[in-house]
Amino acid sequence: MACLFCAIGLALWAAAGYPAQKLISASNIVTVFQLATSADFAGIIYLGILVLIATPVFRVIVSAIGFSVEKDRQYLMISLAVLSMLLIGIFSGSVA
Amino acid sequence: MLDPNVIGPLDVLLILLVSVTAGIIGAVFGLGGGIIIVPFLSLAYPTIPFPVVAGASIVSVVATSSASAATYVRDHVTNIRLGMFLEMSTVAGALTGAIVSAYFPDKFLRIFFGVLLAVVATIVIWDRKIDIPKGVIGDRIAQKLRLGGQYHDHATGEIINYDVTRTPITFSLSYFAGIVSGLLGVGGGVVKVPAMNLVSRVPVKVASATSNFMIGVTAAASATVYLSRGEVYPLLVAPLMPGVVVGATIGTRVLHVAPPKKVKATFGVILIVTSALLILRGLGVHI
Repeated sequence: MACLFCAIGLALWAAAGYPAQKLISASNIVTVFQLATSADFAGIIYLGILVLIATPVFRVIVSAIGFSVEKDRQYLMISLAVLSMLLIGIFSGSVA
Repeated sequence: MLDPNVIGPLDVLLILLVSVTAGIIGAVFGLGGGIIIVPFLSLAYPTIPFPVVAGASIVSVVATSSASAATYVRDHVTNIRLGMFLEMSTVAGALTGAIVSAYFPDKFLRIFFGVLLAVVATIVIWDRKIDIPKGVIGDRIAQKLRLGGQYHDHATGEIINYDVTRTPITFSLSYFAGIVSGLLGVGGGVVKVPAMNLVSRVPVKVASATSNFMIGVTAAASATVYLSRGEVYPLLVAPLMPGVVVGATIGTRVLHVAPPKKVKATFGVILIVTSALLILRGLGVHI
């Protein structure tokens, strides 16, 4: 799916006559959405990248839910520890 | 900072082609695409800062892992408990590596990557026998956390039970694997698989499946840091990421054969030459 975003982004880039790319601090999700909804090619690609990065984060959340269903306290804590580090990574950037 | 205009239509096409090739070669030799794409880009485009190359590569690592991990988990070979346990130190390492990469000069990072390539070359050339460790007794941590497991070996049709030993060493090595991944933009399976297999005596099939499962999460952690620093260039990622994914898929599905010894040796030599080029470039020598 993220590959699709990249292809659309590249097509838009070609259609626009190969303009220079806008570089943004892409952890700022609001900016990415603004760019993407204005059909900016870089915005579309950034959106694809965010979807892609969300996939493993989502997988950790699913494992955490799985462990809590199995009442596995140990591994629930372990997956929550991993998840919190991922969130630190995501949010540390948007603050800085 | 590099002028974002440096990437033109022809570069995008070239990067796409090289990424597909890198994905295929990587899959055939059991390596990630990052190991090949990073040296190519940093030698072909010396003006692009190293973290930008690493940032684009790490995004492609997330994609490759997501594409393959789904099938592995269904296979019941991946040890999710072991993966999640080691993930604690690997993700911490990945964040460390990605954050400190901003403070290292490109020269140093190229040299470090060159050293990593030399290690990879050794692993590729040195043809290890695949054995299934027997009589391994799990250590205290492994028993407490029930890290051991079993899997169905399709080759022999047997159910294989295994245990995990020397857990603290592998846990520490995982932190190091995370640093390598975050700093250099590769998956870090080169560190994780030998750590699990040689140190903790986990069967190599389980080790590589578990490593693959972990790599996506590790790479996602580093990618967020690169993204927030604005070091992920859309025009670099757009051809690179799909290219590597398509290449890796072709490599694993279509070319389902292990390369013969001679091919491995040749590839190893190419890796060593590339490693030398990177180190020389890092030292400021231009050939």
